Amino acid sequence: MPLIIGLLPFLLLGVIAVVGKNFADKGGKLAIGGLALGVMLSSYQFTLLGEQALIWETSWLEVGEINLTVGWQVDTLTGLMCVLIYGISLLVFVFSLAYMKGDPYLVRYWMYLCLFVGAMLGIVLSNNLLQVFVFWELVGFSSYLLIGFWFEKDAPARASQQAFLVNRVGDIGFLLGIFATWLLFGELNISELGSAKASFDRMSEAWLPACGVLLFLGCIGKSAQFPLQLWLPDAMEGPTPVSSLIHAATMVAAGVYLLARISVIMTTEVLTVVAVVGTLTAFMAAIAATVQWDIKRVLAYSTISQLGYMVMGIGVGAYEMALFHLFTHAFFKCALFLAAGAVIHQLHAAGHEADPQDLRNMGGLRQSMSRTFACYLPPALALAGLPLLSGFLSKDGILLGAVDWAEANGGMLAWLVPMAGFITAGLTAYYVGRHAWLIFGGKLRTPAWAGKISDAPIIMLGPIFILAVFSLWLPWSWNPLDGSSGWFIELIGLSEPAHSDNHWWVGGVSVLLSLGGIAWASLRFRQAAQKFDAPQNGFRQLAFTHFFQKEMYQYAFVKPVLWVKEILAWFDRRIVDGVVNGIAFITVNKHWPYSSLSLVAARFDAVVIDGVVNGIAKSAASMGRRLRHMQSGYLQAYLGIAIFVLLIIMLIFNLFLPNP
Amino acid sequence: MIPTSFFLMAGAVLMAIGCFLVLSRKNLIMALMGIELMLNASNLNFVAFTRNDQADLDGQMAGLFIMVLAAAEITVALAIVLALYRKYQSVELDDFDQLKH
Amino acid sequence: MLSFLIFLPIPIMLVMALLPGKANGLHRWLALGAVVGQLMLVLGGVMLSFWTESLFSDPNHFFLVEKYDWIQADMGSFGRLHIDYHLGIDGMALVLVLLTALVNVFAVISSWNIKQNPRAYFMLFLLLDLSLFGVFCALDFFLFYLFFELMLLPMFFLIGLWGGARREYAAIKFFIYTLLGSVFMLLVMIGLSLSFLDPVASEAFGKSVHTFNMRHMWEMTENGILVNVVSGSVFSMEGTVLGQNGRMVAFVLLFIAFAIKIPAVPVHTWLPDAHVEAPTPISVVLAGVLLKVGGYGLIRICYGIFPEAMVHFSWWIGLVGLVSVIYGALVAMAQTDLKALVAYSSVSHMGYVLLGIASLEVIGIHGAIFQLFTHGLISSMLFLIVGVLYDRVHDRQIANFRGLWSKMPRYSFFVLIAFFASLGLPGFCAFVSELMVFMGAFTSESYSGGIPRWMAMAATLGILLGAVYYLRTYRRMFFGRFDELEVSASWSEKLTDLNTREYLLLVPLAILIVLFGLFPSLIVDLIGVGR
Repeated sequence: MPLIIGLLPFLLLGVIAVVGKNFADKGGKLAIGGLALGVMLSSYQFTLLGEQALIWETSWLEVGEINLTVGWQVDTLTGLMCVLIYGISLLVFVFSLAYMKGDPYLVRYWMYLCLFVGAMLGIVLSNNLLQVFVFWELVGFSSYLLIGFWFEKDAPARASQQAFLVNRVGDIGFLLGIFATWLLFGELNISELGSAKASFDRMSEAWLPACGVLLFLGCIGKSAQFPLQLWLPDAMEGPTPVSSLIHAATMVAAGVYLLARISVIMTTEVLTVVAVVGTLTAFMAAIAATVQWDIKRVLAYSTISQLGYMVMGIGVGAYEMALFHLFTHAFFKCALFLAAGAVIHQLHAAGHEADPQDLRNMGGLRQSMSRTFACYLPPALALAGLPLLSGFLSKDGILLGAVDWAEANGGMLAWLVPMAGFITAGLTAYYVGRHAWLIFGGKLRTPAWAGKISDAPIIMLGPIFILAVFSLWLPWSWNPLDGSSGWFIELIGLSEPAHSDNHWWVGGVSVLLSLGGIAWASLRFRQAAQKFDAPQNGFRQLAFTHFFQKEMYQYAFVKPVLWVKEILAWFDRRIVDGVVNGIAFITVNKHWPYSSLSLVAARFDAVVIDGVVNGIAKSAASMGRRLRHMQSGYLQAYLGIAIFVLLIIMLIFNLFLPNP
Repeated sequence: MIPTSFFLMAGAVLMAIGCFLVLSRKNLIMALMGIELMLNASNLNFVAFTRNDQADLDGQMAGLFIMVLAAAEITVALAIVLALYRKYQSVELDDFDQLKH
Repeated sequence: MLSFLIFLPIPIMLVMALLPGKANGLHRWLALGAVVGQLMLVLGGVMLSFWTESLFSDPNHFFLVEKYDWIQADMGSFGRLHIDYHLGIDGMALVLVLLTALVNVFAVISSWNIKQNPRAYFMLFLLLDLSLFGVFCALDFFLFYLFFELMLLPMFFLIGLWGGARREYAAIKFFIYTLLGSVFMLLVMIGLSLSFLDPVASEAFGKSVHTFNMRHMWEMTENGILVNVVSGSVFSMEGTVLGQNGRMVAFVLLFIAFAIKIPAVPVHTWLPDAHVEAPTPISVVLAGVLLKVGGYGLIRICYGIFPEAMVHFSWWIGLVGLVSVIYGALVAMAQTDLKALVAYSSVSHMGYVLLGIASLEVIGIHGAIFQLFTHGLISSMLFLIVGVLYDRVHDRQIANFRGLWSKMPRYSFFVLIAFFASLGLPGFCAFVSELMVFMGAFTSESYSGGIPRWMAMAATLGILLGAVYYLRTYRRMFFGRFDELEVSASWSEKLTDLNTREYLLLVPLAILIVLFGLFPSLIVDLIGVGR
């Protein structure tokens, strides 16, 4: 069963590749049918799951004493993840049917998406870390293809490259972490990691936290945490449904999922690092989100920020809540992206006079796109963290966990984590409010579009509507104010949630902050009818560029590497190869390496090298001048020299070698 | 019995004469004759050394071999001399200085 | 069986020689027949009998052994010198024989359009093919050396006569470099034959019989005492050369010989020139098989005969490997010629082979051998891909192409596969081999102590840099709009998508690359058999 579930998308990929181009929608409906089947299968599988996880594995590669296996392991969480992936993918596929209509490379689009779904399922179904890594990279690959889907434009091409490379940095850490795990625990099987005991015969004790940090590096890359989060905002160059599925709902959450799975082997110090990184990410991204002008970039930074929350949740020990937030976030953020996509699509249809992604050009869409607005509102408020919505339940849980953690750890510094969490909650509400007001509130700021904007078609609104329903509290928990009593926590409950006394004040404060944020946003942006001439003060600049992260990396890593490669290439041509050629020049004694060396001298102040090489060349030349008189051309002269040399050699032999 | 060293000395003298001829004579034919002398010098050495190897007679084998070789060599060499003569109308070695130019 | 495999091209070469020079493409069909015949023989004959032999006999020796007396010389008081005609393969050699058979078929198909003197071309090609099979099957050092040298000759002419603009320079450079290595090897070989005796023949003749047989050379007791060595000779454990331990010196000399072939930094500079100037099929054979001889020799000869020297020098070999990986990748990044880029990426990827061997771990060495195999397939595909473009417009400058994806979508698809396979994406075979190498290198410190752990960690930088140069190239050549550049736009007519012959090359390669990526045990299980 898990095999069928895992392979179904790959099967679809093959089928679409072969027959897709014969359909009007290039195989889109085929894919949707397949995914619907997948939803049914994975739901059925979910009902089958009892206390015992489905586990199967077989040998993949056996070398010496090392046996690498492949297999799956389906427990409740995995089963749920399968349903989630299939479900959200199905909705996004349906949405894409309308959004991507008429694109010349549509077959490719469906194929890539199927590849993504398959790889994502692979991550959750895998039972060992190495197999997770395999699909981890494949997910990155499909993400690369999808970000660069509109490859003819420069920005997507660059963004896709950047995303893959930044992810690869994290992946390398992950790979090294896997090796370290294997040496420390003698085990790569996820389900057995919990009971495995670290032995330090093969690696020193210092590797235990290092191993945790290395594994965490993988999550940092994939889940866009500090310091590798820069790829995610640029990934918005991909088609919007892709952003919604991959870069908001599923792929980026894979890091959090994995972190929850492997947190058993992480030491306290590592978990502290995790918590701090998560908090920092959440806070930084929230600040950046408050000043963005691109409709999708706001959501992208918001995604980073929310992922930061989840990572923080894991760091402070609130795994269930972090995973819970993963699920609720998947729904509401997907809905927000799809709604944004619907807006972009409709504005695009209205005319090419202005950039349909720039918030400054929008406004007042409440009237012309009222149904889209209705679908947009619940997920937006869920993101802001208002009660009666799903986001509140899970975010509240994480904040509560952070407060409890700070209380248990004591110390002022520990309190920074929940504090930053609270501030981020306020900022989140502020940028959500700003986003909503700028799109739907006020008046339309692009006169050219006036009267031409129509509401999104039903095929787009349907998926958003379904996702919006899941943004309400009811699908998750009966109690609109307390997520920990919901079915989700009970189902996946890794441990019994301790009932904390802090619950009420934490909830209260976060609600107040959210309301405050929204109020502030509405005050600032409700009358925003004018064009925005963003004041270029320092803070705004800092936030807009996400603390100049990209520029810093450009100078810290990219430039040096590009510089080093030029130097090395020069070194390879001129020095390494130059030595070889130099020897050849000297023996041939025909051309002098002046011409090539003058280039060297011009480019680099290599006086020493120059001098040495010229010196060798000169001495060779002068020797040649002296010896040329021997080349008389008379045969007998040559022969005489030969015999003379032979005699000398014989003499040497006679003198220096002992007689036998 | 004549000592082996006498044969070797004779061989050395022959070799020196041959060498001198090859290096000094400007006439190609004379130089060739010098080469023949050198070959025969080595031949003499081979045969002389056979005295220490009565069973296998390897040296005499080598001697025979060299004689055959010398015959073949002189044929080819004379042919070359003829060809050179046709080209340069001369058999003087110093006229063949194409290597210099 | 092996003799038949090796010398199968000879009668075909004779037939070619008798045919007129312009025999309407008959030569290429003959050549194709030869290489396909060899492939069939490897798949149907060699592998099958290898398998049955390994089932029914002791798996710890060589299979399909053929041994005949060849040259026997009495050296008087010194003893006798025996050179055997001695063939045989174990799993490692079988893997490389299989690779050779595969790559040569692709190479012949891709040389279909050779216009200039096809008779000579295909005869030389078959000679190369013969010597490659010979190198992997030889068990006698002399025979190995013979085939090793024989490889050089056709390669020299194939590059020098059918190559690009600077072909003479490249061919001579290739020749001199390799010859330098061969000289070292020759020295060591002579020393070895003086130091080792054939125990059986010595008994039969009643005097010491010196041998070139490698199996006698690596025979050791449990405690690491050489069985057949002449006590006190240069390459016995106590022997010295110039005041150094003779075996250490010999190891270093042999290592240089094979490092040139691999090629490792800093003796790699013949490779980019040879590749850039060589015609596509020759690049394919060069990268696909010829480089593998270096790795094979390192394991079979260096490690086989001088295991204790390998342990002694593993740190340095690991360092050379690491430097090759990173240096190769960085220099590849700076290349403007697509073929030079691929050539430098070969330097980088062959560095992993050194790293795997230096780890001295079972998995590392298996990984190194598997890396030889996977790199053979992937680099063949990469060079074929470059050839496709070069055939059409006679240009390979990366900067001259833009937006090829919209112009040649199917071609771009195969390039995507090849690039991502080469940069080690899971699902393709290079990932598995690199993974094995890294595992070996990473665990080495805990077990065999071959190389320190930081080398493994630093080498992972290579897969990042690999991604950098492939992705940059892909973006610059395939992304963007086709008509953005005047140069590439002017080739609009010429840049057509793949034709049938090119499909015939790229599709099987892509399938193999994925197949061995998903089921690496097909090959890896073979490696451990025998010896």
